[in-house]
Parts: sequence; C-alpha cells; structure tokens
Amino acid sequence: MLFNSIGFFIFLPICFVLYWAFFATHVKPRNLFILVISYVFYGWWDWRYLFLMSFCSLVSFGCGVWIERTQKSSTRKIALAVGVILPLLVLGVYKYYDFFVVNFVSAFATAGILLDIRTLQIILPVGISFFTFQAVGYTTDVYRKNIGASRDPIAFLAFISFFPQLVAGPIERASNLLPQFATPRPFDRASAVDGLRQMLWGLFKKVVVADTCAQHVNAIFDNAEHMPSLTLTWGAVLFAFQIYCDFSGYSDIAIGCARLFGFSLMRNFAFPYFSRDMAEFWRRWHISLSTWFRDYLYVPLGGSRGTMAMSVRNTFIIFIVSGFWHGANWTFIIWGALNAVYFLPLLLTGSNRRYIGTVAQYRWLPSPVELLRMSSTFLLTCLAWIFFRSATVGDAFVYIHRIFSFTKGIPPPLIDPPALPILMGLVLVEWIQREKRHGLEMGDRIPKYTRWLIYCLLIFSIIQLGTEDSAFIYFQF
Amino acid sequence: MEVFRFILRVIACLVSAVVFCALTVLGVGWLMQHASFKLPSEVDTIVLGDSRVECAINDTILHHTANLSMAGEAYLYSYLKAKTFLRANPHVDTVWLAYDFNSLEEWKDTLTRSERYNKYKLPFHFFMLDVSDLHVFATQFSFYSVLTRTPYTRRRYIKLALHSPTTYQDLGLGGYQYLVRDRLQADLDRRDSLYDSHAVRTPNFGKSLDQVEYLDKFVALCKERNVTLILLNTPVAPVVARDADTTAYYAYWRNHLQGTTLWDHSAWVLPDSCFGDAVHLNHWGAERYSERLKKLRSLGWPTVDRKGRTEMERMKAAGTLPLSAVPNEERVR
Repeated sequence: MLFNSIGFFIFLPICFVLYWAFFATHVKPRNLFILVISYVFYGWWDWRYLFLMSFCSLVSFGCGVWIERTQKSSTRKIALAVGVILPLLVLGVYKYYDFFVVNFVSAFATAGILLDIRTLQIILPVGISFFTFQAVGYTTDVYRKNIGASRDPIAFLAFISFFPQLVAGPIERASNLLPQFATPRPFDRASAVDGLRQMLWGLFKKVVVADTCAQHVNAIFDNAEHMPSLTLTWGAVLFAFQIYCDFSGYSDIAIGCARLFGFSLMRNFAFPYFSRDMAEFWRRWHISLSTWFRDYLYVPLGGSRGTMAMSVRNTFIIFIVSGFWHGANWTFIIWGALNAVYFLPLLLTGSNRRYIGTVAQYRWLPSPVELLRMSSTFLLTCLAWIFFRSATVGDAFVYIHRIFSFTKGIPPPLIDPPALPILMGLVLVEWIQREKRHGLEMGDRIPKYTRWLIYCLLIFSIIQLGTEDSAFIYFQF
Repeated sequence: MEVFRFILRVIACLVSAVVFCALTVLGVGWLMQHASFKLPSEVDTIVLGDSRVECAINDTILHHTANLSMAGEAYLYSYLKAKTFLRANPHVDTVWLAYDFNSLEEWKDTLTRSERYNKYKLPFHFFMLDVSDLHVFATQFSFYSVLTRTPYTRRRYIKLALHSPTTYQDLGLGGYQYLVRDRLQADLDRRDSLYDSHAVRTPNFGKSLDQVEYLDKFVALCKERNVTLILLNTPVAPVVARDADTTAYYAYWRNHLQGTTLWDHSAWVLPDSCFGDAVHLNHWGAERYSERLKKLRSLGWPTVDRKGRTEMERMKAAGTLPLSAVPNEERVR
C-alpha cells in the first residue's frame, strides 16, 4: 500500500479510530492490533512475502533469546552469526544473487570460459533492505548487551513490521522503538497534531515536488545524448531534489504516522542540502542508515581508532557498502565510492566534524562563505546523483561528459508544471524552518485561521498537482 | 475524549479543505459559464462530433458553419455543447452531428467511462453538466479527481477570464483540425492484417449505453428547438465499411432515428492523398470535401448518389446528359 494512494487514506483513519477506541490502553492487544494492521499493510502489495518477513523476524527473535540465555562466549557468537547471517542471506538471495551471477558469468566470459548459471529473476520484496537491517541491528544490540532480548514475540514481530516505517525506513534501533512496544502509549494531542502536519508536509514534498521533478528528470535522463549541457546540469539538480523530496517525504509521512499511534521514530533527514561540507551532508541525509553503518559496520571495523590508512579503508568500505545496499548495480557502488572520495579530504585533515550546528543560526541569511560552501557541497552531491540515477555506469559517464563538453542539443522539453517555482518555494520554506524538525512544524504563536489556511493551501496544491499512486523511489531498495 | 476532539478537529480541517477546493471548482465553472457563446450572425449550422468531423469540415471554407467538434467526443459532450450553443444562438437552425459506422458500438462508452477520456474531456465541459447528466459519472472516481483539478488544468483560461471577456473559442471547446497526416497506407495494411487474422472486433452497433442515451437526447433537443438535425458520415476508405456492421448501422438509423436526415458520405470517392488514415481526412481532404459541400449548398442541397454525385453529374459521367443541359462554356471546351 502506498502512502500516497487512496487505499492508505481509507486504511489509516480506520486503523486510527479502532486503535484508540479499543486497543490503546492495554499493551498486548495493542501490539497484536499493530501487528495485524502492519501485515495487512504489507500484504496489500504481495501477501506471499509476509512469510519472508515473519521468517526474518522469528530468526532474530529466537537468536536474541538464545544469545541472552547462554553465557558461553562461543555459543553467543554462533547465535549472533545465525541472527546476522540468515537475514542477510535472505537479502543477498533476493537482492544480490542475480547481480553476482551476471558479473561472475561475464568475468569468466572475458576469459573465454562460458558458464551456464541461471539468474533467479524474482521480484524484490518491498522494504527487504529495511526490515532485514532492523533485525540484524537488534541481534547485534542484544549481543552487545545494549538491550535485553525481547521475550514477547508479538511485540517483537510488531517492532519489525511496524507499518509506518516498514517499507522505506527510518531503520529503527531496537533500543529506541522496542521499549515503546512494552509500555502503554497515552494519546498525546500535541504530538498527534504535529504528526499530521509532518505527514502533510511529507505528502506535499512527495506528490508536488518529487513527482513534478520526476517528469522533468525522466525526460532529460531518457534523452541525455541529445540534450545540451545546461539542460543536463538542470536535470542533475532536479534529480537531487526529486530523490530528497521523495525519500524525506516518505520519512516525514512515516514519522508523522507513527506519532498518530503514539510512537516516536528517529529523525531521518535534517535539511541535508543546507550542509556546508560532505561530512555534514552525511550527518543530515538518511540518518538512520548512516548511523546504522556507523554502529554496526564502521565501529566493528575499527572506526577511526586505528591508523589513518585503516580509517581511510573503513570509510571506503562503509560508503561502498552503503552504495551497494541501495541496489545491485555498479552505478550505486560508484556513487558510494565517489562519496567516499568527497569525504576523504575532510577525514585526512581532521575537519569532518567542523559543522555540527545549523547553518546561519539566529540569522536570516547565510554569509557569502556559507553560501559558497553550501552551493559547492550541493553541486558535488548532484554530480554523484548522476550515477545514482543512470541505468548504467556508461550512461552516467556519457551524461557527465556531455555536461562538461558544453554541447548544444535539442531544446529542453516543455513540461507542465514547471519545476523552478515549486523548488524555489520548497527551498524558501525549508530554509525558514531549518532549525525545526520538519518543514511544517509551527507553534501556537501562528493564529489558528492562518494555520488552517496553510493546511488548505497545501491540500489544494497536492490535489491540483498530484499524480495518484506514483511509487516512492526507495521502495525498490 | 481528547482523541474524539482531535478527530473532530481533523474532520473540520478536512471539510474546510474540501469546501475550499469545491469553491475554487465552482468559481472556475462560473467563469467558464460566463464566456460568450455567441456565434457570428452568418453561421446557421453547428457541426458537432468526434475527430472525423473535426478534421473533415473546414469552417473557413463553409462560412455558414461553425465546427465545434473535438477528437474523442462522446454524444454526451456534443449534447451539452448543442444545448449551450442553441440557447445562445437562436439563429442557428441546423446541426450536423457525426454518425459513423462505430458511433454506437459498445466500446464507445469508454469515451464517458474511462479515466483517460474523463481527464481529456471533463475540464472543458464540466460547467455545462446538468444534475440529470451526473448519473453517468457519479460512480467514477476519476470524475471527482478530474473535477477537483480543474483550477489547475484550466489556469490559463482563468487568467484570461480574470482580465478580459472571453468567448467560446477561449474555452477550447473544439474546432476544425488542420490535419497534416499521410498514414493511409500504413492504416490500410494494419486493417488488412487484422482482417486476415480474423482479429476484427465483432460489431455491436447500438450496444453503447451512454452513446445511445445521449443521441436520443440530442434528437429530442433538436425537435424541441425546431432545429434540423443532420447525421453526418464523412468520407472514409472503403475498408472501413468492410470492417463494420453496416446493416445494423443503417437499420438503427431507420428504426430509431426517425425524423433525422442521414448524409452518408462514407463512399464518396476522394484520392488517397486526401486521407490522413482510413477514417480521417487530412487538410487536403477537408478542403475538397468542404468545397464540395459548399457547392452542394449553393445548388440547394440536391440529392446525391453514394459517390456524392448529383443527378446531373451522374448523367454527364455516363454521357447521357442532353446538350441543352450543358452550359455554353463547357460545350465550347
């Protein structure tokens, strides 16, 4: 079920009313209700994959209990290995098997050896990268004794399948979300109101901004070989906004939706395009994944505690793995490696934590230096996004080559609605709200009727400009 | 209790948003209704129908006509336009309405019952709908979604209407389509291959619910307003008749459409260069066809045969015309 579909707008109010009317007061029935609606939500797409998700959840649940019950170090390690490898194996088979087979066969073919290994050609289960990582994170946390193992299978299954964040994150930590399933969650009106606002803002970003940009981006990238340099540059900028609004829009809806049910999810985006360097960008972009890789990959590898060479190696590993996590394609791997290259100078000079606070704090406008830093960071990300968007590495290089060869070509496509005014509006709102949690966070200082007018205008623009049922980009990951 | 109050607030907010959207749609409808539908005084005939008529009748040649047809137009929309234009132009005494070999086939209901056509048609015509017309759309979700988007889809018209008085031409309700197309042979090949593989649709003329209903309404409207209704079947390639159930077509007209005139020009002979494809005349074809109609009008609409020839032309072609009937200048030649 898509957040931007009519089905969801029927599903959500029904669940909300039933939840608060009958289930919210007692933990066990509430968790069971959340589990049922989460499985309905996921099964709406393809019910057969519910078995896969249940399998991953039960493996992690069992391994957690196993780890906690045993005192013997080697057995704990075996339990950890099972709890980590099995979900990753599922992910590997469904997501990466075909990629490895194709590359393996073509590598042998270049040596003159023809292999006949068949690809699986199976549909990638939606959100598999998210729920497997959440499961792996939990098992690791139990092993590290950061949290106790869950003894309530219903609560645990609900934690893995919690519908707002199930298919595209944020990838929740067990230490944050799981305890929330163990305690009663009273209705908090202020939080619910702000959750709805966040959902509205997320929907606006997805339906109005991302989907509008998508039309332009598709037209430009699909005809890249005929487009002039300026249009191609514009196409890369538009894709940067498309992917940001698509993914952060989903996260906003997910977080807001969870707040309606009394749950608090971690923040996933913090206005990343206002970052002054790449390190800050990665602290503000897809925060749940970046911190996941930091905690469960970078730190175990040694992090930045060893020699500089080890730090560089670890940095490359997490960026490349992060790229590969996005999809089984060389374009994502190069995207990850390119970001590692961007990050490297900051790491080597020890300036990767220079910008922690918000840009231009207590000021209306950034200083020229800040503006220059933000612009250069944004342009670097745009360059990397070209790899992310292109179908093949060759296409990406052709695209970049054409940008820098300053060629002329056919005029850019005239697509309605134009993207520029929408983007200008978005940047303005996000700049004003950059110290808040989301673009529509507002206090009671703003008069009620002004707030309602803002809601009406946003709903109106969503209806006017929205295209129904366009999938979120991150569903494919 | 707090949850209940929250739900009420959310409902109130959503209702405000819905009212806001509804008001904007009504505002757009009001602006569209207030366009001028006055036709030039020399126009006594309006032409309505789908792309075949849209491409065939060049109203810059036939000055007494106003071509208001639009591609993919269902009879429902033709009826709405006829109602509006006949009300605004009492001097119009004739309507030419497209009536071709497929007009009442079952699949034609997609023109009023599919999202694709609703998206394409409703923004131009919704303001003419009556309550009695809503039963066609009431159960279609796309009707509501298209309607709520009209402030955006018709924004150019809104901008224009807010600055100056507008006319029906600004509304984009249709008009002669200058077709530059030369795909007759490709279309004939396609039709032949379908015919050879027996993939031609089973004709079911008269099975379309909405088309039949609104054609009947159209006939009743013309009767009520004392307007002559002429059903027009424009020239097509001969294969079109082969692929259609022409028996049912003529039978339907005879049995259900009494009191109307059928101008069946489907067999009129035109060179291949006049066809954009098997069923559409291109601009050359439209010019020849319209000139021909103009000539027939100047002759007082004489009876013509299936090939479009008058009695005199037929006799002339057969060499049986008495010398006294041949004009002097032709005798010299």
